[in-house]
Amino acid sequence: MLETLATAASQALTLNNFFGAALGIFLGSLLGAIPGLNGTMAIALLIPVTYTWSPLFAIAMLVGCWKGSVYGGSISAVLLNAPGTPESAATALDGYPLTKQGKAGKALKMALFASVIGALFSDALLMVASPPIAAMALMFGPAELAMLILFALVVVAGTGAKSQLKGLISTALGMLLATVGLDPITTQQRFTFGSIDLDAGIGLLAMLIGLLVMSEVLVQMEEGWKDAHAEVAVRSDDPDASRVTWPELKGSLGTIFRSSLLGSFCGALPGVGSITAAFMGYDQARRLSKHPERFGKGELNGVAAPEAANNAVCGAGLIPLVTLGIPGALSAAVIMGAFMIHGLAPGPMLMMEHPETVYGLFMLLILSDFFMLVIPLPLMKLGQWVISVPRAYLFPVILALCVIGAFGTHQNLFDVKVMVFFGVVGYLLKKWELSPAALLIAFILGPMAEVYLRQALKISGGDPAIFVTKPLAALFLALAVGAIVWTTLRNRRGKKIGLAGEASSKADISDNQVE
Amino acid sequence: MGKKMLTALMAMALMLAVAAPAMAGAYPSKPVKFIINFSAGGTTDTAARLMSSKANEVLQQALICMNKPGAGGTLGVSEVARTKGNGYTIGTCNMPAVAVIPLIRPVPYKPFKDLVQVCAVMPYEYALMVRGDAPWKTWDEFVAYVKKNPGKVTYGSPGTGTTNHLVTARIGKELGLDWKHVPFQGGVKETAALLGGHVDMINNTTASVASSIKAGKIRVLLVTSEDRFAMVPDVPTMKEKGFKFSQISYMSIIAPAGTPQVALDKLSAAFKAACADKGVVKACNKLDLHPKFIPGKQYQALLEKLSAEWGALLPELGVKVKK
Repeated sequence: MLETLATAASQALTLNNFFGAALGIFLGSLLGAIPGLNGTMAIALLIPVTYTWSPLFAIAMLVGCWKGSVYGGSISAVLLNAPGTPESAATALDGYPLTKQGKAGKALKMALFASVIGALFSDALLMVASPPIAAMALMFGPAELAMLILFALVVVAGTGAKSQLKGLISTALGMLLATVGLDPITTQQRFTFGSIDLDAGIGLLAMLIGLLVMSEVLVQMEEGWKDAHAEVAVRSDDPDASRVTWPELKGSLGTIFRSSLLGSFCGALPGVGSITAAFMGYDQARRLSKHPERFGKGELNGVAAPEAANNAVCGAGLIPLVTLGIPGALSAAVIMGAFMIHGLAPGPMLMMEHPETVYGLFMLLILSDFFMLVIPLPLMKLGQWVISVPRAYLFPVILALCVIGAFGTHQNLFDVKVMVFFGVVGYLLKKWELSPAALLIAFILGPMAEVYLRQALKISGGDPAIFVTKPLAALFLALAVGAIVWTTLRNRRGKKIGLAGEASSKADISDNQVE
Repeated sequence: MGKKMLTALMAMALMLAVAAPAMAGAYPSKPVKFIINFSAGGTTDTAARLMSSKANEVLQQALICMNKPGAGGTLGVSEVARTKGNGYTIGTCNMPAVAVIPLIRPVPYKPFKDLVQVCAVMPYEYALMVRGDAPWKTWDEFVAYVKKNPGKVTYGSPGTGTTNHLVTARIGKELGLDWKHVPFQGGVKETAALLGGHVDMINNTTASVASSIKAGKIRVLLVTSEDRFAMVPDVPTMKEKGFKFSQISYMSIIAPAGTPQVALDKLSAAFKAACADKGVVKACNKLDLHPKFIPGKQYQALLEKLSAEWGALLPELGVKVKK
């Protein structure tokens, strides 16, 4: 064992590999931070050039790129309200209000600390607890996953909307849009109107760039009529506005750890993914907070929670890959390709046949978490400079990047059309205070719920009892029902307490409209 | 501004004029676009990229790999079908995308008219498998169990209309088995469901689960491809078990109709060399992939035969066909 570790260390801890991991993190953070471009794209673009490199160098770079992009997305989410990656959509909910208060630096550093802690947490799990976690992940079959997703839908539905009703409208819309494409069970065409491009459904990345980034450009353009040369954010001279104080970090640690746990859980389950993790992390922070009403208006915990969760997905996403040969996330699937091209077939034999490579990878992962603490710092400074650029120069550039990003994913012009369409939709949603984020998460969770539900019913021969006779499925069903009851009771009690809270929240809404 | 635009346009026109004669030279005079119809990181993608590195050398031009996954491989295939047949766009293709799916739902190409099969380069190798700790040691034991417990056993496939689904359903039909089909979104989720005990048996490619097979987590009961596998030499093929059909699907190289014969010949020669190249074969074997070259005409005939054969069976296997 010690010998293996020593071999692993001598293979992994070389300057070359350090450089690979650092370069990956830098590229990932950069592409993640640029609205419109994203990390999955970066990884897919990097793969062909990694073929000729040594496996550890290539994989360290790819994983670094993945981690970097997940953090990088939060930079543009916080500074511009235009999440650079889908994972950071939840981060924008509180990050952007903080920027408007002149606390951009504080939000970005909190996001960074939370990301690094989340990443370290899940890498540690990957190193020490892979086999039991993989065994747990396998216990989730279609019936269990259907109920888990149902639970997730119940708790995150409507996130970011001004009222429950508006949140539910966005959720319904998202689920409806997700039905476009081939029926997942019979593979018949659904709502495709004869367009072959729609057979694969509405492209997630294209839709997302439109919904989250282009829509923000439109919103800012409209505001720009008034004063095109205004900067996006106010500047603050208070040094505390651009750093996280120790009490603040300590106050968020509980949230960060819960989010890391949630993120690792979502990462280990094949196909649940980092976007779900981020939203669930955000939701738990809001639910367990003593001041849930501060969320959405610049609560620091609202930045820490999704960032810890989405970064915790990365390490845990490698657990089913390394132990079972099953990638837990989209980026993990691409990284699996890098394993394969170097003749390392992921699966239970990987650890037996190439333990030094696996342990070497683990070491590089932990190391890259520490790199992540410093490498994005210059980007942060650059980002803060960017928001001092007048809107009239900044947003046209972002619009161009949106087009490049939408086209670049599949080199398909149809995706650009989708992006523009959803840019307009997102703009209208923002105008009507319907949450684009709620639509997005429903768009992601809806089809999962459908597929797993129908698969489970196929297994049971159409008998819905499968959802209560399987203990884990029953547990999540109970949690979902519990969440609905809890929310209803809390709302009722809220009304009884009086109108004071209502009035102040209304005042907040009108405040936001004036901005 | 207007002047600048004009200058730019003129410069572009000039460049095109200079570039045009160069294109008329011997094929290939510029890089060839290579559309892979499955996503990056999968078996098809890995094999295609490994082979293209050798094919590049033979063609003395780069094959530029691009992934266009989705809808059972049909999106990538239609991307190839709608380009001009000049030899500068080719792609990968799987059997159902041309022989089965066009019978189930509308696709924007006529599989045997809009496309030419350049050559087939690698058979996908399939088998029926169960969990390593399952009580059935052989195919016969498994069949006996399904017969004794009608309606209880479930099997997974990577999706409706895949060869995995159709072949397994046909086996069930010929043996009179009462079992349930559960379609998953691809081989990965299918494997996860088997390992977790949510389905009893799956039909999957052996390469994708080779590591689990070697570790004893997955047991192969019946080889559905034509020949036995070196990885599990004792497991019989379905032909040996008395079935008159097999699960045949190759990864093939396609080009749009109208591609000049010279280009087709050169491409075919390049991929033939790639399939025989020691480095490529060694890299593929590490992943339990086994390249095998079949000339385009021969494979096209096989596809047409398979399409007719499966097409006639679809309704009986419970798959809705296109009206």
